[in-house]
Amino acid sequence: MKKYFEYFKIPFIVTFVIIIICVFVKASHNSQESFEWGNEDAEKQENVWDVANALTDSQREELDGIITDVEDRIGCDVAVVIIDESLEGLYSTSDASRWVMNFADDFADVHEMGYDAPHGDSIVFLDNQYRESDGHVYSWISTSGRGMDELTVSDCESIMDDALYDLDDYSTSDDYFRAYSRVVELLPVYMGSAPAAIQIFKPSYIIFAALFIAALYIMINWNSKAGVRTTSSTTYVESGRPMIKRKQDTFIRKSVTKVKIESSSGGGGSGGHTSSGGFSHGGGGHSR
Amino acid sequence: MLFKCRNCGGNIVYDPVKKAMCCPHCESLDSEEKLPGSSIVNNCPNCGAPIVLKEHTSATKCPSCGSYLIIDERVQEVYEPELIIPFKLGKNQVKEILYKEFGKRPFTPAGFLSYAGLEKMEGNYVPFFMYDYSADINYSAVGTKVRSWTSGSYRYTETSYFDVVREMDADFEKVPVDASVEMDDTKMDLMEPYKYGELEKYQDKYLSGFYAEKYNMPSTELEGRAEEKVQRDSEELLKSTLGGYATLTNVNKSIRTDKKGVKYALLPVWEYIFGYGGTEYKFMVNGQTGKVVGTTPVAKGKVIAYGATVFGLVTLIGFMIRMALMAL
Ligand SMILES: [Zn+2]
Ligand SMILES: [Zn+2]
Repeated sequence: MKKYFEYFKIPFIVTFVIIIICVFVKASHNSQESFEWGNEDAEKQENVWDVANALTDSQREELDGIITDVEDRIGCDVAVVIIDESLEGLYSTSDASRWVMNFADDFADVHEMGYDAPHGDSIVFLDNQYRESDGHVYSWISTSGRGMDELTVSDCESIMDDALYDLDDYSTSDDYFRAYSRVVELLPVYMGSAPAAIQIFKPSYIIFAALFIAALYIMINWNSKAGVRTTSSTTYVESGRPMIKRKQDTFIRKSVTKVKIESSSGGGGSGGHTSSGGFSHGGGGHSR
Repeated sequence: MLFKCRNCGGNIVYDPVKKAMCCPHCESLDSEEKLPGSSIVNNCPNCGAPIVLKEHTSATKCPSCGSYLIIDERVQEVYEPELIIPFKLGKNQVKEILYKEFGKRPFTPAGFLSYAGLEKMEGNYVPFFMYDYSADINYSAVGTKVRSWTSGSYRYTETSYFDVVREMDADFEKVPVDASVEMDDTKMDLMEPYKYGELEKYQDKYLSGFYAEKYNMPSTELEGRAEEKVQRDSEELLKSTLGGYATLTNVNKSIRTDKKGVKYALLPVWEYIFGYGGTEYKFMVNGQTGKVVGTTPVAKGKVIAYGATVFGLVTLIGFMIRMALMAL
């Protein structure tokens, strides 16, 4: 035990110092500029629509509080909608990932969401826990106004990849609460043009990296083998080198071949579209 | 035979550090006197206790009185070594070397490199045959060199062909092969190289204080291994002159080796044995150069505890940085 602490003395100290620095950084950056509501009707509306009963009452309340804080930080009306039913057949498209998009867009339209004004700055996170007939569970983040301007499709996808990666059919209400509140907390991170490094420090990546480093550490220290060959081809050769009697490299001929270089082209994509209500929405999807 | 102290009658041993015969009892230097005896059938010439010898043992320690005995018949006449490298490193220096090599390893079991275990370490003179060979290397091949470049929308590759010829002679001197069945061949090969500048004419006194074996088999039986080494080295010598070619297609390659002579020598090896989980882990240390050969055992419990700690620390640091980044 004494040996153990002696061995890990420096790593422990380093970890401790990093923790102190991180806590200090977080504490000193917590005060953020904030926005003012311009749409009283929307301000009074529910933030959490837990139709699927995935959360407990106290979790719903806590999530509501988190959303209220976030709304003022990002200047967007935010709603978390949780349903558990098939959306098959409700929309004209057969692409199941588009059903949640339509549902979320319509939700924002119907509730006239908007931080500044109805049909204004808003973000709807929809999680449909129902496993559709194609075997996937779909989620969507629908954005409007400021939300659409400041969140790209890949931002929306990153937020959900980061927050929802460990959800499955056996997730408890605690798991869902953790995941949903993470989605909401990540909104200001990505909208405030979060440091690119946040994409690297996803929980799944951190755990993967830690496993990798631990495995590497074990491999390196597994068993220490001492003793490799330290003789060379000339160790036992008299005077340290052979007698070279003939060394000849005569050029005979050469041949040249030519190959045409193929060039390739790539394309990009955009996330903007118009909902059935005629309002324009952005956003991105996730499935599990 | 046995070396006795003229001053106190104690057993005198060769001290690698002082490079002299040294009485551990009265600290006299070079006060030795040779006491013949202790042949295969005899008892210990010092205390009279019966000595049980293994087939090839030529120097050992009396289990009763601790005197170091040299078996006359096994170091004389046909068994008399021509050359010897006396031990240059003493037990304490070897302990330091082992500590330096393995002392900081996290997964070694408790008890590894313990004081008591290291005290039991013994020095062995291992029988070696040293072969002289001449090698005649003849080689010819077609070699290619490749150059490529881009011009316009085409990539050009130019292949040049060369006629490659090499002829060389190499005289190999004192290629060592251990003549002990008990000593692992791979480990003994890894003990190389010994510094031959310190080879000396054999003297009995160097054996006092150590274990030793006579050669277990005649030199002709081990020629094959020496030849393999010569072949390998010759190959490498040849290869070192063939740099720069992308491919080589051999036309002719012959390495002819010819034995020129052989000498019988004793070379010093310290041996540390550690038993763990029913297995003996053997560590060899070159008694002249200090080169270490051996593989440490692994304590599974330590692997789990230390691995989990590393995992925990990295995870903790990762989430802390994440938390700080999110606040920025
Ligand atoms: Zn003495
Ligand atoms: Zn005795």
